[in-house]
Amino acid sequence: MVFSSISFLFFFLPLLLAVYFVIPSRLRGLRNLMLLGFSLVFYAWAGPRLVPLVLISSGVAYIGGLFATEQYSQRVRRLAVGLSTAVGLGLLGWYKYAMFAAENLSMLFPNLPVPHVVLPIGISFYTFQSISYVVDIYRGEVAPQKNPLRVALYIALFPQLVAGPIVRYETIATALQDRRETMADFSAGLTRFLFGLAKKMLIANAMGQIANAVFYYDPNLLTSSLAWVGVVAYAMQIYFDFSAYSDMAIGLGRMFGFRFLENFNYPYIARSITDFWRRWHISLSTWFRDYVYIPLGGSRCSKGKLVRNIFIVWLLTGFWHGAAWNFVAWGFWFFVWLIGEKFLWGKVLDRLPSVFRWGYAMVIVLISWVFFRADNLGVAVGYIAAMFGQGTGAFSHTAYYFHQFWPEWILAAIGIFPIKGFLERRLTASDNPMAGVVYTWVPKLLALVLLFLSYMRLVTGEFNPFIYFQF
Amino acid sequence: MRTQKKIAEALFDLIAVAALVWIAVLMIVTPKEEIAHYENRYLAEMPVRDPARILDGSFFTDLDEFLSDHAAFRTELFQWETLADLHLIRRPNVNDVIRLGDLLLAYTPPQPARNPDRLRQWADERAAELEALNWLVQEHGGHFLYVALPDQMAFFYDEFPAYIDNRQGFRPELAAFSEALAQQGVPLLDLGAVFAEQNVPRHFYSKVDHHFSFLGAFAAYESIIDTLIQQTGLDIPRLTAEDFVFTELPNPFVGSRGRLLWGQSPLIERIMIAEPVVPIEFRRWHMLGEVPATVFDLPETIEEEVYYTIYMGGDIGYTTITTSRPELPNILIFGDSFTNALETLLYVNFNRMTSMDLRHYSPDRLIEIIKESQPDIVIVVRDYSVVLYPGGNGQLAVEEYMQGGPNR
Repeated sequence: MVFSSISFLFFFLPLLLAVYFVIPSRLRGLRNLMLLGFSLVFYAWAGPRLVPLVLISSGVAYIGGLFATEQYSQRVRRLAVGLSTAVGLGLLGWYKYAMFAAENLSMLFPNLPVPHVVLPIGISFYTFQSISYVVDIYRGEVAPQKNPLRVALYIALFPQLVAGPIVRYETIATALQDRRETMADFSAGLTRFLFGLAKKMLIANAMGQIANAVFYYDPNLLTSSLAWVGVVAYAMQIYFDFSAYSDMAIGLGRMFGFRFLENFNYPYIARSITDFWRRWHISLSTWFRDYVYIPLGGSRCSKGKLVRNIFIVWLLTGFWHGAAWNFVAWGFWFFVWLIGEKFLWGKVLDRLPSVFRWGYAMVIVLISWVFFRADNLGVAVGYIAAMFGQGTGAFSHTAYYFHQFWPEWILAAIGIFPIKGFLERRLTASDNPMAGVVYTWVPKLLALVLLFLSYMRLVTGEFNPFIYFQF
Repeated sequence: MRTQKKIAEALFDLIAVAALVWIAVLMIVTPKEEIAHYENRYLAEMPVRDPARILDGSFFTDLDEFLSDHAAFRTELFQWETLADLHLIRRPNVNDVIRLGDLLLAYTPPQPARNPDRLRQWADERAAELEALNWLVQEHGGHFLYVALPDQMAFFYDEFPAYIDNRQGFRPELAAFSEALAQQGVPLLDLGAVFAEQNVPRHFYSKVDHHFSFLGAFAAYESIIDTLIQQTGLDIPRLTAEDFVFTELPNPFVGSRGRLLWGQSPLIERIMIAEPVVPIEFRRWHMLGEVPATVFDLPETIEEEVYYTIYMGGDIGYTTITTSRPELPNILIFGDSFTNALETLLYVNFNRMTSMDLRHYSPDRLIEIIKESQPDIVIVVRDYSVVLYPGGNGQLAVEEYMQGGPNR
C-alpha cells in the first residue's frame, strides 16, 4: 500500500485511527497489537505471500537480540550477531541480488540458470533495521526487548516499513512501551503528513513526468538544454518524492506517538558533496557510518585504509540502491568526489564563494542522478555527453516543459530552500500578536487546502510512482 | 494563545479526519456508475475475491483501480482541474489538448524526426499491399482509389507554437507514401492538396474535434466524386451544394477534444448535417439485419450533447445502404471514422454503398466481399497520421494477391 492512494487515505487510515484511539491508552499492549496488525495488512497489500519475510526478519532480530546481550559469553553474542546478520543479508541477497549475480555469472557460464525473483517491497529497509537492532544490543547501546510483539512492531511499523526512514531501535524503544499520544502531536503529525502528501502529489509527480519523458528518448538525440531539464526534473522528482515519503512517515509516526529522526535536511543547498551526504537520506548514511565505516576502522587509521573504508561504504551504498552496475557507478562517483574533498581540494573549496561551492556540488549531484536514473551505464554515459553538448541536438522541446509545468517548477525551486524553518523562526520570535495567530492557523489551513489539491491530483492523475519503493 | 492553539488543533484534526471519513462513506454509499462518459470507457468493477489473486497481491491492485475509478466527486474533480489548467494556470497542454486561439488541437508526445529510409521502407510495404488490392479490385471489374486526408492536427499543423511538436503535419509520411503509391501505379487522392488549392479554409475542420467539419466533409465528397468520374468514366451523378439542404443543429457539439476536456471546452461549435433536396429512399443493413433507414443518429432534444457519432451512428464494422437505382454504380468504402460523415453524402450517388471499418471487422471479409459483390468502385479513406500504419484499416489480407503471390 502506498500513502498516496485512496485505499490508504480514506479506508486504511481512518479505520486504523478509529480502532486505535477507541482502545484506552492504558491498554498499551492492545494498541500496539492493533498497530502491528494494521502494519502487516499495509504490507500485505503488495501480496500477503511476502508477509512471512517481515515476520522472519522480526523473529531473527528478536532471537538474535536476546542472545546478543552481555549475560551471554562473547562467543554466543558474536554468534547471535553473525547469524542474525547472515540471515538478514542472506534474504536480502537472494531477493535483491540473486538475479543480478546470476545474470552476470551467466556471461561466464552460459548454462547457469537465472532465477526470476520478485523483490519484496521494503526489504532493504527492514533488513537494515533488523541488523541494527541486534548490533546495538551487542554493543550495549540498547537493552533487548523481551516482548516479541514490540520487536515485530519496531520492524514492521507501517509508516517506515516500506521506504524508511531507517529507524534505530533506540529512537523508539521507549515509545514502544510507554508513549503518550497527544492532540498536539496528532495535529503536528497530520499537518506534516499532509504537506508530505502534497509534495509528492503536486511536485514530485509532475517532475517525474518531465524526467520520464526526457529519459525515454535516445540521449544521443537530445540537445544540451533538454538533457539538463531532464536531469534537473529527475533531481526534483527524487527529492520531493523521497523526502515527501519521509515527511509522511514522520508525520504518521507522530500521530501515533512516535518520534522518528529527520531523514533530509535540504540537501540541494549543500555546498560540497560531503555536505550533501550529511543532508540526504540521513538515516541510510548514518547507518553505513555506524555499522560499516566505523567497524572497518573509520577515519582513525592510515590514509590507505581510510580510502579503502570509504570505498567499501560507497560500493555498498551503491549496491543497496539497486542490483545494477549503474548503481555501483553511482556509488563510485560519490566515492571519488568525497575522497577528492577529503584529501585534495576540500580546503580550497572551503575558501571559495558560497555560490561557486553550491554550483560545484549541484553539478556533481545532478550527474550522479543520471547514473541513478538511466537504464544502464551506456545510456548514462550517452546522457551525460548530451548534457555537455555531445548529442546531435536534433531533438529539443525544452521550452514546452517550462511552459507546461511552470507552477511545479516554481514550487520545486522554492521547496528546496529551508523557507519553512525561516518563517517558523520569524513568527515565533515576533512580538506581534498576529504572528502567533498566523503561526497557529495558517499551516493547518494550508494543510487542508493541500489535502483537497492532493486528492484532486490523486483522482485525476495516472502517474504516481514512489521511487524508493524499488529499493 | 495556548487555548487558541488547542482550538486550532482540535478543529484541524476534526475537519481533516472528518474529510477522510466523509469521502470514504460517500464512496461506499454512492451507487456505482458503469461507464465513464467523458473517457468513453467502462469503469473498473469490484474485483472478485480469488485466493490466488489475493495471495499474489493482484486483487489489491485491482481494488485500488476500482476505488480510483469510483472515487467521490471524480467527474467534478476532473472538471475543476481542467478549468484550473485552462483558465488559471493556463497550461498549453490540458489533458492532451492544446488550446490555440479558436482551436483545440491534439497534443502528441514529441518524437524525433523519423529516419527517411525507414519511412520509405514502411511506405513501400504499404504500397505493395495496396497495389495487390488495386489489382484484385480491377480483376473483379472495379476501380480503386486511395483517399488520404489530414486530420485536424495535420490540417492546422503550421499553427502549433514552435515548442510543441507538430510532427510536421505528417507530411514526411505522406510524401513517402505518395511516392511509393505512384511507383506502384495506385491512384491516390490527396485531399490535403485539394484543400490547399482552396487556400486551406479553416472552416473545413472542426475546432473541437479531430475530424473535418461537415463542410470539410462536403468538400472532400465533391472532390472524391469528381476524381471518380474522371478516373472511372462511370455515370456517377455530380451533385453540388445546391442539391442539399444543410442544417446546423442547435445542440452543443462535444468533439473529441471537448470530451478530453471533460465537457469544459471554452469553444462552442455546432454540428451540421445535410440531406438531399430531392429525398432518396434507401434501406440500410448491418451485419445482423436491416436497421432503420437513416444516416444520422439525431438527438431527441436540443439540449442533448452531440458527438461526431451523429454521422452514420459512429464506427460500425459493416453497413450497406441500397437506393434501388440499378443504373448507378455500386461502391465499397472502408476506412477510419472520417468515412462516417462522407457516407452520409456518398450513398446519394450510388445504387449500393457498402461501408466497412476493419477495426471492427475481419480484414478477410473485405477481400471476400470484393470478390462476391464485385463493387464498381472501392475507396479507402485514411488520414495522414496512419497512412503508413499497418494496423486497423491498414491491415489488408492480400498476401496471396501480391506480386509473385500464389493467386496472382
